[in-house]
Amino acid sequence: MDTLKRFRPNQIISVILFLFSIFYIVLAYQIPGYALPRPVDADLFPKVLGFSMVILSIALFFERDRPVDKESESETEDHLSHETEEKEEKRRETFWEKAETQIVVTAVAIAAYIFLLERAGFVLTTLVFVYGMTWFYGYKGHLANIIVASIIGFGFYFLLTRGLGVYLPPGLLPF
Amino acid sequence: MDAFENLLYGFEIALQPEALLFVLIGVVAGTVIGMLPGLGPISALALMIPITYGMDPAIGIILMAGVYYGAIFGGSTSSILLNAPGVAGTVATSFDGYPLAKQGKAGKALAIAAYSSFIGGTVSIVGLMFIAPLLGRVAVSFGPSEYFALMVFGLTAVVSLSEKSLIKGLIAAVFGVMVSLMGMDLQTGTARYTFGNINLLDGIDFLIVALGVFALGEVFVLLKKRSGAAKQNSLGSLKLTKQEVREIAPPIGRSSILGFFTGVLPGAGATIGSFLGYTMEKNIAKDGNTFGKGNIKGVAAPEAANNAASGGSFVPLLTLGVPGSGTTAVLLGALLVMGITPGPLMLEDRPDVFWGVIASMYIGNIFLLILNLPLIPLISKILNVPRAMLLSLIIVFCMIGVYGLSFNPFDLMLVLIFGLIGFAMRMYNFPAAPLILAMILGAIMEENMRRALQISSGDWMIFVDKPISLTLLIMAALSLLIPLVIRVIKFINRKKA
Repeated sequence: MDTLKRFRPNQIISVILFLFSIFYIVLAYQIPGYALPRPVDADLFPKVLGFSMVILSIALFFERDRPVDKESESETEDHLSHETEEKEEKRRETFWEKAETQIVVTAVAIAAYIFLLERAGFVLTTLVFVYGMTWFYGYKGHLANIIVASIIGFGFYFLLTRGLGVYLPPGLLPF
Repeated sequence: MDAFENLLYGFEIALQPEALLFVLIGVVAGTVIGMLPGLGPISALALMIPITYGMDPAIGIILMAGVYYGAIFGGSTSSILLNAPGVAGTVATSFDGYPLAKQGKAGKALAIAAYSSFIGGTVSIVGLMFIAPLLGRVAVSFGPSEYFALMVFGLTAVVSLSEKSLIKGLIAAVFGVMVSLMGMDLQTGTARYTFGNINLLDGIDFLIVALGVFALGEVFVLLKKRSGAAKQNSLGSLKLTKQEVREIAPPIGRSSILGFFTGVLPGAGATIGSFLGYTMEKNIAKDGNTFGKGNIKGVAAPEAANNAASGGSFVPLLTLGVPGSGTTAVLLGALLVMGITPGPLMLEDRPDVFWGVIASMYIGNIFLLILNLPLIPLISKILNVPRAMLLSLIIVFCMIGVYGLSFNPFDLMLVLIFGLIGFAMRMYNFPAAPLILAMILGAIMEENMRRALQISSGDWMIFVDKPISLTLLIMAALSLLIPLVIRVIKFINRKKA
């Protein structure tokens, strides 16, 4: 980890991008040619893109992020995040309240939602997801939460399947 | 038919009860989404596209135009009330809008924003009405080489104006083109970058990338940043005095015209337009030193300019079929989903769509003014919706939107992946607009390049021999070189000092 810390984020990203573009170029050379000779075949554009990305990733390695411009939007954004950071410091967060944990849990929950969508059906999955995630993000009004989750689950299901003729998986429920 | 007759025809379409209803829905939904922290016109449009599935294209695009306008106004609202501009286009509004809100004049600032937006929007629609057909006539003569050059210019312009690192912008653009090439090659049927996966043969739909990078990615950013719980100031009166109206009228006029032309240029658009408008008025005004402390002209100018620029950005989209910004790129994607290809031929093939959009922009603008403004106290209640609930709802909307497009859970996984990519891009300062624009233009760009080379039997000079394509390519090169030159000059100056 210590060796990693010596690099700027840009440099780490540039290495990842460099490896990615090499992989991309290798695949570009494996694109089969078309039976009839053509002035430009399907492989040219990817090759150009791959080599451009190599050059750009090398350039990124030496790029330093510009210091915050006084007049640009980043000022307001930084200002905002700074304020919120200060607020956060007042209270120790538990493990589950940490931003990193929340992001990972959210990504996993979305994956679970996708996995269950066609198996358990839209209404059930959505209901559980909205209720569960809202609760997980820290909203403790259970009644309001259940009402909103039900409205979204059932409401969208009937609006889309009956109103707009868009299919949604019914799953375990009989309608 | 002259412009006026055409417009009347457009109104016939836009004034159908169904169209009116959808303009209203679009404006209100756009306002609500645009008001939410982090979500701007791009996310609003992407989230609303699923609603247009199976809709008559003329009505669908009318709905989209309403969403677009509403989202920009919604962004201004959160800029003024919370000092939390949803998107870059309304950042300039917060400079004077938020100080006004702190003085208890939020209502006044919102009213000024609404009037300025209305006038800016109207000016740009008039401009669009006259310029679009002219440009469309020129564009009919465009061949593949001109289109290729135009798209290259559009992309480089967006990259060079993205206010972030040039290299990062280019990386985002190249990555976007890479994503757009995935799937079956349209000309030879060769599968590229599908990794043997059938789901990838048709390529990745732009909506997946738009919703992933802009909506879902923003959810992750909000989780990371913990913003959105800011205190809301009271609204106060919405009324303006005659003196105030007289004061803001000239800035609105100037900024509207400036904004429109900024919007027509590829890459520029609402953000640059609003900053230019704000800076211009600050320099012209006798009381320029009060800008930033709650000067009403500081709200009027950027608001007129950003709305005029949004209207202006419809010019290249509708006449050339080439969007000049991330937002219009998403609009283009929405049109393509509905089976409409904008471009010079659209004026003749689908006049109902073209003039319907223009007329509905008028109507959307009026709706914003007479309905949205009085409703603002009510709509701004949305800001009180618990953040926890908002986040889970946005995620579900992303899922429904993509599932309704392809009915394929694989695509939902892609949304998640692009959501994480979008999050990483935001965290490490990669601009997202070039990615979405490149994603939509990439495949068309390649197709045009190859068609041009087929016409010339492989002679690359075709791009340089034609004056229009040569000019566009030179402009593309300049748009990338100028920021570099400026940096070098600044560097030399700093060394001297």
